[in-house]
Amino acid sequence: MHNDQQLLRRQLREFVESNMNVDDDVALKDDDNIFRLGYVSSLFAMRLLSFIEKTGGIEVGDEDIVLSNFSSIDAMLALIEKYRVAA
Amino acid sequence: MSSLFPVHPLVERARVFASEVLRPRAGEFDANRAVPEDIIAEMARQGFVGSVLPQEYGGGGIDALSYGLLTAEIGKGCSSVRALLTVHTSLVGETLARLASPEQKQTWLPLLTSGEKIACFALSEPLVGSDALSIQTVYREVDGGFVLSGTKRWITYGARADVFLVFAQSEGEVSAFLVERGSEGLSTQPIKDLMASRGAHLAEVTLRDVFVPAQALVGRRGAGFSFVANTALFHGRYSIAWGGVSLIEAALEEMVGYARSREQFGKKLRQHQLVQAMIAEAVASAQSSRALCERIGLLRNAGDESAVNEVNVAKYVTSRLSVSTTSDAVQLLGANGISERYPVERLYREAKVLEIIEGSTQIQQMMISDYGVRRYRVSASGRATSAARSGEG
Repeated sequence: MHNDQQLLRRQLREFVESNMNVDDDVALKDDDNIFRLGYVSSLFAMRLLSFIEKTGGIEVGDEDIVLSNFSSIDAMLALIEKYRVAA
Repeated sequence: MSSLFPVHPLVERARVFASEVLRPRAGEFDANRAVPEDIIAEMARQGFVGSVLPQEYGGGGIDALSYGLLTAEIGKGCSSVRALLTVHTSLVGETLARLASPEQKQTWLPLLTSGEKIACFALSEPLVGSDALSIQTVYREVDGGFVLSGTKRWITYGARADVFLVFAQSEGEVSAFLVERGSEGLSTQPIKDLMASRGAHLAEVTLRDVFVPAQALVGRRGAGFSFVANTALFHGRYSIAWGGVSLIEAALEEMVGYARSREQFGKKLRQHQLVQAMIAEAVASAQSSRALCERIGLLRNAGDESAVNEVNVAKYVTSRLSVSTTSDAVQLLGANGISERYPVERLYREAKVLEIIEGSTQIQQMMISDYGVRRYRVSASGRATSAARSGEG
């Protein structure tokens, strides 16, 4: 489980980093709010939803499709964990 | 047309319907300023409006690529009928199938797949187009629901629709609501003075303290732009990109027919080199546009979320090429090109609209540029980034 979460964290980080509209010297932290910091646009939110569902093997319910659940790597991992625990 | 991949048989039915029914009557719809009810009913009866929506709700469940091909066929017949697919099926139907609550899906999707209710997408306003986050339509929460006030404009099929996917804001927080025709305080005013989309029932929609129940909220409060509008616009751009293919191919067919039959200076137009240049350009535009859209369809079929960015490129390219190709078609037909007795003047008018709706050419350029500086970035080691290699970004 631990290794799996590490892998997921890395995949999320790579995905977010490869989509950030920033210069190369910006270091992304796991609790950075990527929308508030302007690293990504709101258009990225729906891509994150699809990516998380595919990578995490979950289906996010409409009640959880809110920006706060996708605003940082920590928040996204927590969302995936919530669905995996419930499964 | 032969295909390199499996295509749902509904696409062939759409081709026949478009060529036998829509294309001969498209000029009539344009002149009468309305796609008639019998056509809307037939689009539903033949399963076109429900084609891409899930089977469990009465839809056809066809794949995204086949749906794009179907859209192109309908668009070749009539752009204003294609617009029905864009707003009812793509912008609203596909968005509800993705983001609505289970209860909303059970309530609305069967009505949309059957065509019993026609839906439209109400985002634009008199003072707000591209800057969609600045919408002035407002909502406030009340006992048992919400109250909406504001004005929407340029709403395709707004004069005909039974249900409106309305975007409104409260203290900067944008949310989306399904508002039914007949709701007290909702009225629509058809917009007739249009250069194009004349048959597509455009309207101004006025909401004066319209109450909607809590279950009318689509997604959560505040998710209206980030998720609902963006999802809808992704589907809408996919539809418009294919609409561009429609107009390019329809114009090309008109050019070829005319160039093969009309003579000037003692030989057929097609034998004149400057005419050949226009036809060559149109062929290249048609084939490159179709290939680009097919790629997005294949990405969608594969569940590849990079389609979200790639579709902007497709919409940008096909809308621009549809303008240049239809312009060439008018030019090739000369005086006949500006006559209503030939369809190319209508195709030319319809093409320009594609550069404006579902994100203008300039908005696409901004998004494509943002995408490009990630996608084609070369790392310090001189190698393309992983995003570029994998086609992500």
